[in-house]
Amino acid sequence: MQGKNLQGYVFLSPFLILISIFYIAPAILTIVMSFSNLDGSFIWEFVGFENYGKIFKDPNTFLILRNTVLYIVVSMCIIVVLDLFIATLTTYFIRSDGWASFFKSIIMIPLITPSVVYSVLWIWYLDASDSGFINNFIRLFKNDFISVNWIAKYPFQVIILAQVVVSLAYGAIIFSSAIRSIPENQFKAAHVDGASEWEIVKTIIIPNIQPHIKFIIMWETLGLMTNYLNILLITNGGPLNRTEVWALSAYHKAFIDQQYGYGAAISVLLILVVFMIMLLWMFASKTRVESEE
Amino acid sequence: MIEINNLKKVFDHNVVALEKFNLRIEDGQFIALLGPSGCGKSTTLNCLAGLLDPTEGTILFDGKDVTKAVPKDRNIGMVFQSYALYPHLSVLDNIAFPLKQKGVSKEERYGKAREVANKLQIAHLLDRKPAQLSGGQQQRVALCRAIVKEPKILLLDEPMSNLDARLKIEIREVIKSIQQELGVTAILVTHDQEEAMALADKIAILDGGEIQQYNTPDMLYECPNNLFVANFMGNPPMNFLHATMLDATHFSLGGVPLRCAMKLDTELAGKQVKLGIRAHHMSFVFEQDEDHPLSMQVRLVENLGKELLVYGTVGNDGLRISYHDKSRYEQLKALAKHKGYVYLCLGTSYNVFEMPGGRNCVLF
Repeated sequence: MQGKNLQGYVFLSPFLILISIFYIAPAILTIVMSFSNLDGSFIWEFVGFENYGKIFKDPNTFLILRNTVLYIVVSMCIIVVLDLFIATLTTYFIRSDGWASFFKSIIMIPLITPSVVYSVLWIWYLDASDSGFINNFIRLFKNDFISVNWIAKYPFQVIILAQVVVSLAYGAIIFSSAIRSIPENQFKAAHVDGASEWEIVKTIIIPNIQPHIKFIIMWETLGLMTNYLNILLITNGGPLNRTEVWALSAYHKAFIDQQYGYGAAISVLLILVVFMIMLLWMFASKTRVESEE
Repeated sequence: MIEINNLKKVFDHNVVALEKFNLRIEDGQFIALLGPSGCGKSTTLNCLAGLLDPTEGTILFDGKDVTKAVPKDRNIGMVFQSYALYPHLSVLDNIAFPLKQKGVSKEERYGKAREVANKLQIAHLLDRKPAQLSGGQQQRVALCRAIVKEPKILLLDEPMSNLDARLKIEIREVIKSIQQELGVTAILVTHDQEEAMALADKIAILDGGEIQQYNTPDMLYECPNNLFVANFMGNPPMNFLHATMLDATHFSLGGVPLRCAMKLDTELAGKQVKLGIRAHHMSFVFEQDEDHPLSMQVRLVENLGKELLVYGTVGNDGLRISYHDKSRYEQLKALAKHKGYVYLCLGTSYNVFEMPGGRNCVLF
């Protein structure tokens, strides 16, 4: 057994080394950086908690925090509900494998499209000018329609919509395979017992895939917290910070304003929150396993 | 009364599960659908439950056509092999679930659930979750759930297949007594002939989507219609011996001409037949004489406690014979060791199957 353990460690060590170099070291560097006022001149000068203080004094912080929470909660709720809806439809109601996988392939497309291409598509769809797709499209039915600058008018709705469409596929596929693993006889029994389809969704499908729902909620929360690429490309946080979220603001402070120290401090707070959520999750799943025993 | 008329079920890729399937079941009877896997017995049950739509044919409950009715409108209860309890509901909620779907008030449905739970001796388990119960307890809960809404028909889909031998017998008793107490019509699907014999008033033996024989267990055991039924019923299985009919009343077995003890319904002279003889209907002696000309080579002997089971061969046919004189155990063991011979007595009760069709030609 001892020899076998050793082998395992030997095989794992390249990954541990890689992760140390490319993830843990930068993380530590970021934490160190957050206590300095490093800027474009690249002079390390430690200033203690000054950066953190600055976050709390920044007049935009509250707006950004509110945006972030709203963005995460609204997107996550829509994603989870739609995922459940799609998974139930494609796995439980549509029993034909062909149609179900066809539908699943379609919702996969946004996920596998590079973000830049995807965002350009959105920008083109929503373009303010008369050549914008949506503006053109509406004009087909309504000749006197005056072009709307969709992104400027509804920036928050746009980024949520864009994010939801990208995120759908992952959860829908996880849920759909979870539904597939529910023993067929439970559905049969429920039908014989006289349960309606809604009752079946409520008392059989959802409780059975509860662990998967929790996982997707956590997964999407972490993803929405740290991933700002679509927002950066579509609205870049604008107009007037209306779609600026926490992670994006770290990027803006560090790379646009070249306040590396300040950007690092914002990131560190984010990492702390992510870390806490993961701990909470681990704690929750541990107690669940114990209570089941 | 349940009537199944000309039922046909074809699955995807033209797999025919049932064809021209007819069955009549009287009220309050216990019926078993018995057959090997793939014979169509579960398909029949699922069609009765309304979980599968038949391709053709009709199903009538008390003269009313329910072929297109959804399961909840058929007044049935169903028990599954894998119990199919709802894992996140407590035992009490599991049992009360069908009543909840009917809109029965909370008080009343819990009251009824407790009542049936008492009847099946699981009242002390009501607060638990299904995962905390043993297989036998889970199947009792499933039975409670099936009978709580007082259905007219109880469908049992291999309810004992997941249980070990001792629990099987226990649940068997529970099912039988509850069925008699409620007077409900019960239909059991099983591949275990012993289970079917023990429980059913009548057994339908299925093979290849068709009923081979539909009769009382005793008739199936004693007077099988054909080779398939004979092969399926009884443990140890029936012995089969290849023979050739010489004339209406004699056959040749292993080169030895013998008189046929059974009356046949047709003239088989010159045809190949298979004799089917139960292990306890035949016997043997140790010395060859005029009445016992046919020899069997002894291969093995087992002491079953109440009797001996002797294995041997006549030509290429293997035989099992129950032998009651246990004092001969050592002698038979010695014979088996040296591949010695005993001399068969075929008895006066056996079946003659016409080959290759396999129809039983004995006139009962």
